[in-house]
Amino acid sequence: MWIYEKKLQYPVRVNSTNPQLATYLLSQYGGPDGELAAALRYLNQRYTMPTTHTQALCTDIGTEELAHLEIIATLVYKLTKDADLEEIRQTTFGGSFVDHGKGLYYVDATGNPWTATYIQNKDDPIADLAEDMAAEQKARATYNHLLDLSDDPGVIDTLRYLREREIVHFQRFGEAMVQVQEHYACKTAF
Amino acid sequence: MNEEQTRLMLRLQQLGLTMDDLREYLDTHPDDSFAIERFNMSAQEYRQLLEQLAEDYGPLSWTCDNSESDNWLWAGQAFPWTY
Repeated sequence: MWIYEKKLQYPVRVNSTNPQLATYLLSQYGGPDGELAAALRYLNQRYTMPTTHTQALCTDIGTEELAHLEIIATLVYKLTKDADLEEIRQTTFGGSFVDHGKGLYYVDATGNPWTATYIQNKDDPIADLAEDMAAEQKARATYNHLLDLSDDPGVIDTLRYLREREIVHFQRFGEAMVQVQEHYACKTAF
Repeated sequence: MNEEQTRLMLRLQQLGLTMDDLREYLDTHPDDSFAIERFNMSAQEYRQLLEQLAEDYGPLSWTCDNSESDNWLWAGQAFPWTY
C-alpha cells in the first residue's frame, strides 16, 4: 500500500517556457534509464530479495523513484503549459504535440515508447543489485547530459538534486550487494 | 499559496527529504543510533507540521482527516504541479 501526499519531494521552479528542454527531459520520464524504469525495476525485484533489509531498500528507493517521476512530470508540464503554437512548431516537441497535445506520455527524448525490455528481474540478488547499481550510474550520466543542455536556472537546480540522489542510491545498492554476499557466505559456512 | 504556507511547505519538504535519505541509509546501516535519533526528530516535526498545514490550509495526505469542513477538502485543493 502507498499513501499519496500532495507535495513534491523537492521544489520545482521553472524560469521560462521551453518545450525543447521538456522534450529532452522526457528521457528521464519514459526513457531507458528514466525514473519510470527505475521505480518499476526496484518495486518488481523486491519480492525475491533475500533479506528484510534488501526488501526494505528496494521498496524505499523504488518509492522514491515514483516521487522523482512526479518531479520530472512537473518540470515537463511547467515547461510546456504556456508554449504557443509557434514555439511548438520550432522544436521537436511538435511530434509529441501531434500525438498527445500537452499531455505527458511515457517516451524517451526521441519519442520511443517505454518498454519492459529496459528492465530485468533475475531472481538472483547479486545479478539484480548489480543491474540496480548500473541503472543508477546510467541515470546519473543522463542527468549530466541533460544539465549540459539546460540553461534554465530552476530546472538546473532540480536536475542537480536528482543527479545527487542517483549517486546516493548507487552507494546504498553497493552496500546491499556486500551485505547479500555476506548473507550467503554465512549460510554456506559450517 | 501565501508566504507562510510556502515557508511551511518548504520545511515539510526538507523534513520529508531528510527522512527519505535516512530511511534508505538505515536500511543498510540499521545499528546507527545517531541516524535513528535524527530520523526520529525529523519524523516528530514532520507529523506536527503536516497536522498544522492540514488545519490551516487543507489536507496534504490521505491520512489527514476532514474535520475542518463539511465540504470534501482533499479534491478541492491544488495539486503540486499546478503551483
